[in-house]
Amino acid sequence: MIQEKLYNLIKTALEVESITIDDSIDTVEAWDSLAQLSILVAIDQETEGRASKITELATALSVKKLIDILEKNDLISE
Amino acid sequence: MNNFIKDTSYCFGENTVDVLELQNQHEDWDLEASVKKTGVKYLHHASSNETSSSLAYTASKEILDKLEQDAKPDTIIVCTQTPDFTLPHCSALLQERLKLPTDTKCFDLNLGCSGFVYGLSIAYSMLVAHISKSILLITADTYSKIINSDDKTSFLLFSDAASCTLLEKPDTTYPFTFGTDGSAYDSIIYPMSGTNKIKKNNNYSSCLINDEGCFEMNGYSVYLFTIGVIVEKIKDFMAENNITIEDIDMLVLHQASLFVLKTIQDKLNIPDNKMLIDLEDVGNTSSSSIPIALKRAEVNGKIKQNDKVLLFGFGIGLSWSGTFINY
Repeated sequence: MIQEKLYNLIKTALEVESITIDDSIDTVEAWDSLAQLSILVAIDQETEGRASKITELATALSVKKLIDILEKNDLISE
Repeated sequence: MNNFIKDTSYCFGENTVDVLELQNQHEDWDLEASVKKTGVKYLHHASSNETSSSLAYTASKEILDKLEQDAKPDTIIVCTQTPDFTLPHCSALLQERLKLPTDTKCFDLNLGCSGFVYGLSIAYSMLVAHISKSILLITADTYSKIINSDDKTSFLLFSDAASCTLLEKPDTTYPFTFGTDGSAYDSIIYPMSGTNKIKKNNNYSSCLINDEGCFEMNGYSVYLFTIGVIVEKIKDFMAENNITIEDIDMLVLHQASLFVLKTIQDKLNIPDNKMLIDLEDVGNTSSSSIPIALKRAEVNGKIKQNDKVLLFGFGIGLSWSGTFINY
């Protein structure tokens, strides 16, 4: 998955028009616990079930952390 | 044909809570969005006078009242993680209150959402080994007493309930599967319980929600576990026992939340008519969720006697358990 795809997944899950690397559950009002589940399921679908095996993703509550963890697991590229 | 499950009864905590009516108390909660995700519109909370054993008694009495004196069960297994007392065991209280003889075998299981199938397997073993002739498998929990009412994730999900299932030796053999990943033990935890009352910031890095040590669930961690691990475990169980979707009349999973059940259903390609979802009026009742869903499905005509049902519980531990039986 490329980073642009991740941004689109997050925007769709949060139903917002834009998102940046600095955004997180603390900066976007729509990013609540339920939206976080939508983000996780979207990423899991996009990675064909590989993301749900990464337990560390449970701690990823920001765009940056999502990218860092997905990069570490070779599931995202620039 | 002698089926394993002879009868089931259940009861809820006496206070029913309409989730959408909580808006006045929690203006910042988007309750409509929550209901859409959890699937839970009504919660059931035990009153201050109700305990896990009192709910268990109500559910059990309904079964016992239908039985002749010589058909009374010789074994009580109680699955609870919110017992009236850490000791003595809840099943001892029930033996006395249900007026069962003192030679009744009584013990508790400390398990959550995987507890019902674990209980079935123990009962099955005892019946097949002729240790017991007839068993009451009781599940009972009152999580509302340990959940912080400001903890949106848990408060909007869990209900208090008990179930009682009467079991006898079946004519056929049944497969079971179990597992535990204790590395995630703190994903669902009640840290200020038991004798090891470790306070926040001491050893439990996951104690995020409050300072009082109430029930805590890391929803993201549990969600990843269910869509990652549980889906694979169900697939493995079906493959190992040559079970296809066509063989199953109904898949009855622990009723965790609508979002979880729908995700698992999608991943396993289960058609709607084979996927039992019964959360709206019930809530997540932990180890009671499978027997309550089974009984309500029977009453509503969704399943009938001898239907082949695949049961799978998962949760606290993190643990899982599954079986495939004739209802």
